[in-house]
Amino acid sequence: MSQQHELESMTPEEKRALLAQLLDGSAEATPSNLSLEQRRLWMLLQLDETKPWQVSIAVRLDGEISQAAMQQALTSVVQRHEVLRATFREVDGHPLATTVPAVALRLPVIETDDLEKVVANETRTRFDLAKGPLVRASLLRRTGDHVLVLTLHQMVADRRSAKLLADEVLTKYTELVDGTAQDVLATPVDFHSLVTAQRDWVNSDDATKDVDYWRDQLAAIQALELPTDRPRPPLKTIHGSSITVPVPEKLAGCGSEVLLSAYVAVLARYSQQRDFAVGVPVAASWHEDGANLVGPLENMVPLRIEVSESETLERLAAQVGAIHAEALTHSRLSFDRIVEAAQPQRDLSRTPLFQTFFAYDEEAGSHQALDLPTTWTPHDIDLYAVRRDTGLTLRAQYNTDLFDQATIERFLGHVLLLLDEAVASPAKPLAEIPLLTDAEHDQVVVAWNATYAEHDRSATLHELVEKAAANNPSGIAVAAGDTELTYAQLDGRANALAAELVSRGVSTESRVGVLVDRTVHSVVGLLAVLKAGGAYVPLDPSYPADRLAFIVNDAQIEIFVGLRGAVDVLPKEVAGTDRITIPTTDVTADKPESSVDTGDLAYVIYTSGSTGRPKGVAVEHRSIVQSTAARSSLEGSGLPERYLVLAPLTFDAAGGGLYWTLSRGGTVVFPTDSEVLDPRLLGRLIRTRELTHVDGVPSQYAVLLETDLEARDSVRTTVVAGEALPPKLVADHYRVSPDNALYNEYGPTEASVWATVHPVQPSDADLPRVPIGRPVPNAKIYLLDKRYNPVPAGVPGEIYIGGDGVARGYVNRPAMTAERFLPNPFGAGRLYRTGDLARYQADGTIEFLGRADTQVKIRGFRIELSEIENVVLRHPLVAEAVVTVREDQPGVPRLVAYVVPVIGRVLTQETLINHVIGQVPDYMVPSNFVTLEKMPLTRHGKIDTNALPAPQQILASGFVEPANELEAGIAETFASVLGLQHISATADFFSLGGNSLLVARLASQLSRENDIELPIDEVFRVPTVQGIARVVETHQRERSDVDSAALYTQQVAELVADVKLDPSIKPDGLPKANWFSPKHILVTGATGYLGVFIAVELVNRTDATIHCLVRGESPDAAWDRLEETMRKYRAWDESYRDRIKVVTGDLAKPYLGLPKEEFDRYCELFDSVYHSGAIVNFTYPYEAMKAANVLGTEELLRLCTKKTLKAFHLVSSVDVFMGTGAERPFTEEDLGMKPVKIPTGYPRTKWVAEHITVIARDRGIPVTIQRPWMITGHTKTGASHDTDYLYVYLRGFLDLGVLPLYNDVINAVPVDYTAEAIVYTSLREENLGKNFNITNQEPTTMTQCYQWLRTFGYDLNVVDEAEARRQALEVEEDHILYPLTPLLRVASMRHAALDPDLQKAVDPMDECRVLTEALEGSGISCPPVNEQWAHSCFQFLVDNGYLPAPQDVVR
Amino acid sequence: MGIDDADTIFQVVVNEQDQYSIWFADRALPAGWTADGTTGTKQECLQHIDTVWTDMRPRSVRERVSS
Repeated sequence: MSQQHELESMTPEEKRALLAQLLDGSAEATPSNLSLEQRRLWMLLQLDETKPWQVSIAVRLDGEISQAAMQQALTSVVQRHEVLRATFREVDGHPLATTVPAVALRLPVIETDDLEKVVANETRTRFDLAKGPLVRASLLRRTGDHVLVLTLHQMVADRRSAKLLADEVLTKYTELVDGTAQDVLATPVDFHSLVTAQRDWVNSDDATKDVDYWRDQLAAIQALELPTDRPRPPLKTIHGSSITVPVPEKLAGCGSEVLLSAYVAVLARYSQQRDFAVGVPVAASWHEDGANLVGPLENMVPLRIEVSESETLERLAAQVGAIHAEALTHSRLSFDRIVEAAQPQRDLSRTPLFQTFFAYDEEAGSHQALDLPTTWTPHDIDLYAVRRDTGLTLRAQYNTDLFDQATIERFLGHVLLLLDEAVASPAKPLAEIPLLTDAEHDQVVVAWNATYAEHDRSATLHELVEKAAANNPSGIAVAAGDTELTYAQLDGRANALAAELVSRGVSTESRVGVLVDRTVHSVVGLLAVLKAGGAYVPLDPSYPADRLAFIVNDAQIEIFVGLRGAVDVLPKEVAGTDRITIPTTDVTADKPESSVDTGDLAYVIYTSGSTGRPKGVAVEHRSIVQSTAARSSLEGSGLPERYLVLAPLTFDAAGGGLYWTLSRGGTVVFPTDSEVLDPRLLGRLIRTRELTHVDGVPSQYAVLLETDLEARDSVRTTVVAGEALPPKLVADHYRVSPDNALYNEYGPTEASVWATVHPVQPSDADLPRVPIGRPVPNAKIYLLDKRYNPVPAGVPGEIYIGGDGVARGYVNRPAMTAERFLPNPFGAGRLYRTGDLARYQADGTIEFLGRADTQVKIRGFRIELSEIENVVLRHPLVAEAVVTVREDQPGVPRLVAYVVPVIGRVLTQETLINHVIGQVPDYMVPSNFVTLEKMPLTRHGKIDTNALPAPQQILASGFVEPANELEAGIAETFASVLGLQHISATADFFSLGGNSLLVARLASQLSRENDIELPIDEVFRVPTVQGIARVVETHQRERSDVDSAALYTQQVAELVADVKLDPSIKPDGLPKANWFSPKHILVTGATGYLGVFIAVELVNRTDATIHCLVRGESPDAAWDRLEETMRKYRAWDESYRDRIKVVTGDLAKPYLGLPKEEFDRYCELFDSVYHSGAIVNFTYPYEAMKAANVLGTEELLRLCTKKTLKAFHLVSSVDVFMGTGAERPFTEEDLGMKPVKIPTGYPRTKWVAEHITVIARDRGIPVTIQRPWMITGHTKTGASHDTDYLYVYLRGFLDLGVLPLYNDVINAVPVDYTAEAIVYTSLREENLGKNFNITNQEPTTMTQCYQWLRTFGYDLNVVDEAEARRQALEVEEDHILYPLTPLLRVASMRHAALDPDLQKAVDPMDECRVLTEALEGSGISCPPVNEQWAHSCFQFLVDNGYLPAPQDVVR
Repeated sequence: MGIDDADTIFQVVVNEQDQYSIWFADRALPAGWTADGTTGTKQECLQHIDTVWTDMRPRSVRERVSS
């Protein structure tokens, strides 16, 4: 009797008791009536209900069909198999099965020939697990025959059962039609007996042995990493398709093990892995009759196979056979238990343990099964070998989010190719079997290397320059700073120097050290050495002496050439070498006699060697001449008329632009050292010299794009090389310069500057990687495997370079040269082995994949650091990013991301982590993000990874206490689910022993306890107490703040609707006003508290006349109001009369309420605007303040862009955070468009005004956004803001005789400091475009304020906050608190963001980093907020009658 | 028998420019190369090359300079 029948007869109490037992027991002890396989599937169903876990079968039927008999056969077979009558539902996180006594199964007849459509429809139609039945049937009446289609849910059936069911139905049908039908026999064993047997066995010693077996067998197993056609989605998808190919007759004899082995061998080639697992199905083995029972009884086991390519396929098949046989003896353990035993690192982007599956099906016999289309598939690739009467076929099911059909077709072709070769030559090791068909071999080796191009192969390098000089003697050859050399001058001086060199014995193969810098003279030096027949060795005079000495000795340099200053100070270590000065004045000389052959050495360039000693790459004339001639392939975007050579001449990359330009008669331009360092100066150089060509390393170019914001219209060609080109840079490049051709170049020094190039397209910005293109003219690229065999498209191989550009070798390094410069079996010459990995796309374009030898592995995962970098770079505020693996604690490698934010912006670790999570698998989320001002660069401009600092905050493995009640509760749930005592708030659920079953329970419990729906995949993503607490908070907040997502969306739309700026407000072509030494300034809000002090500060810090926009009946009335306010705040001085003027107007009106001609006059007069004016009221609705606060901002921006372009400084408010539910830290980044909480009233006006100002900034208007925090008393006078709501509260409650107890943080910032900060920052060019938070880094608390009130003399009666509110809500209409009652009614006085514990967790610097840096060296800093200061503020308020004197307060 | 396997046997080869390199011992020589008779692991072959390849100038250069 199955458990199910008992359940049906239970009372509700009994059921509850059973449930309690189910919930508390361990997984094995759970008297669940589901098999382990069903429970695993149940788990998967919870993860994603949309996946079609169902199996279909279609059988062709000949002749007439009796629908009635078929219906009857179906009904009796379904009745026979209990499991087909089961339904499933969840009770408190546990699935329970119920079996209904009878099922009415319909058999619709469909008149159609379109089987595919029917099956597609079947796949789309879901079963209702709770309702059942979980089997469906239909009969297709086609032209000429019928097809019976059966579909079963995988909770009740597997592939094997589907066939079984079809067989049984058809047998029964035949009996019915023939009249031989007998009574239906019960199955020899029922499904639930097998479940019980399984459960008993799971607790047995045998099971323990199997657990041990699989743990050992699968230790440190790694995922199969097939190169995919598209980036792997972070959450695995199951979209699939399939391809079937027939196996040729001559291979039809291959058995399942041989087929599996061929499959594995090809997978090994594609993945470059030797050790991985393939899943295979295992028939049910719980009962001798289990094989004849319908039900989800099929198990899967991983076969871990080590592929040795030196073995034959036969040997591999024998090994696979042995592994398979052994696995079968341990195959009772269900797959989920095997996963649990092996404990692989959780990775939601892949299936655990194996990512590919193989099954061999014999379908010969009674019925004719039809191939069905596939629309989903569980793994990356599954291979089904199916043997029927009609022959053997291979069907590959593959994930269409990862692979293109063409790739899988090629893949199957490779399996057949390998089989064919192995069967034909059984003794051949696998490694000897090429995976390419002859056609593919020709394609990659010959067709994609058809790069032959004509050029003068007899020319030497200097002859190229001499020819250009003869054609264009007066053209400028080289320019640097103010110095220019014409071709005639360059050639003449080089001839003279060459003559001198020849006279000193320089000839063929002599190495001459040339001390190079960024002057025109260096080029004279290089050219002279070539003309003399020698080879130059470019050296930086600032090299350390021992490095210089090493090179001098290694390269056998006997003579040095350089400028006088440089040769004179050569270190003593290189004494004994001859020295010649490069002529810096014009000398005319004939070219000396020297015979130079194209095979002679042209130069030696030293690069850093992996051994730590530099190695000299020796390059011959023919190589660099080929390299230079190949540049003509880039001339479609223009000749190199004026070329910026950014790389130092010690670097071979400099040679690219140098010789291209000098051979074409163009001008080489060297930047000065300061231009190299400051991209804005470099931008200026590009504009003034009207450069047409720019090259550099991508990270350098990125900085130029970011910092030099003016157009560089003269540039028509940009070449980047030296490191991977991030797709984001492509987008940035084409956004600012759509007409400037961008080339991505690849090539080591050993291949003479470049070997491949890719003309970058704007669409490349969307690729996971920007390709490096195809070989340049006369260069050859071979992608070879470890056996030196070419790899087909899609398969990674190491880059080997052939052709004329291949260097001679390494100076004095015969062994290293022989090792890296290898024979070319595909043609003439040698191949240089680069150590770089790449693969071909289907069209022959090459994709660079990284170094072959620096593959990163963390916790067994292969990680492409560039992949993470690209994700980080997608954050709009990230300018540059590098991800490295650090091992600051030995044995604990961590991923650390280094980020340079966009200039003037701040990024927190949390922002970045949230950005990255969900875009990459968890194991690829860096554990630390370090923000840097700029990347450390090597002397060649590449990112110097060694100089990256260690992250300061190391995520220690120590115990972290839960931070609040929520975390404590979650920690408790973790503990109870895991059976542990204490859980650290940062510990990973899975590393504490959690598994897939436990995670389902955890999610269910946490959902119940926190009254939310916690999806399981959230636990996978953030499997720590802290992480889940954040998720819970987010869910709760979402629910409490808005009724529904739809309402939120609507509210955001309403909010954002006001974020707009009249398109006519733009800076285009306007002359710039005097922003930094203004003569006339407009200040709004000068009759407000902060406005007064801004006006005063401007009077003191500038020579300008300060015009204050003030409302008033008349100018006199306006003036009186201004003067009165200033006097009230003790800010008045008679001298101000000459400096301050009033403008009588109104912010809330068009043109500020000014007559048109007056407005126009001010447009010409003002240099800048300080916008501090606003209606500040915490109880008014938004609409009441919109005209003044929002539209007023737009009117001022209009003023800023008429006649002249004026600077605009917006005084915003901390309320843009406080009113939007923003999480601390409140950073100086731009505000997002989707606030957590939709702001209302005053904060909303400020939020909208900020966004409008950002629009203005992005149009090019110079702005700053200033966000004062809580502006409080003046440090010298105590002058305080009497209508600040805090003082109103204080005064009101003092009047009531009670003070509410709450300990919020008071971030009090004295008004004088606030004004100083605004004025100082606004007058400096580097601050334009920035946002500043004007905060106090040492805030105080409400409790501390009460203490100061006590020491001031007040006798305080502090009561519970609720009590104080109750009393306040009862005040009469004339009480000072009355206007605040609407606020008090709906909200606590506390603010979540001002919690003192939260304050401790926030680094105050994160909230004002931009300001702090801007104020550095100014002497301006926030004064301390202390008792003395507080008392002076209270005294001010008492003096002005806003607070009662302590002695007047009667309790 | 991969290019980086410690037990792969190589042979020392020389081209017409007297430039040395290594090649798989069990494979046919690529056109333009001759075996110098030394075989062994990669390390052994490279050590041999270190001792015999004393003048790294290509033969054509050497001949031109000496004439």
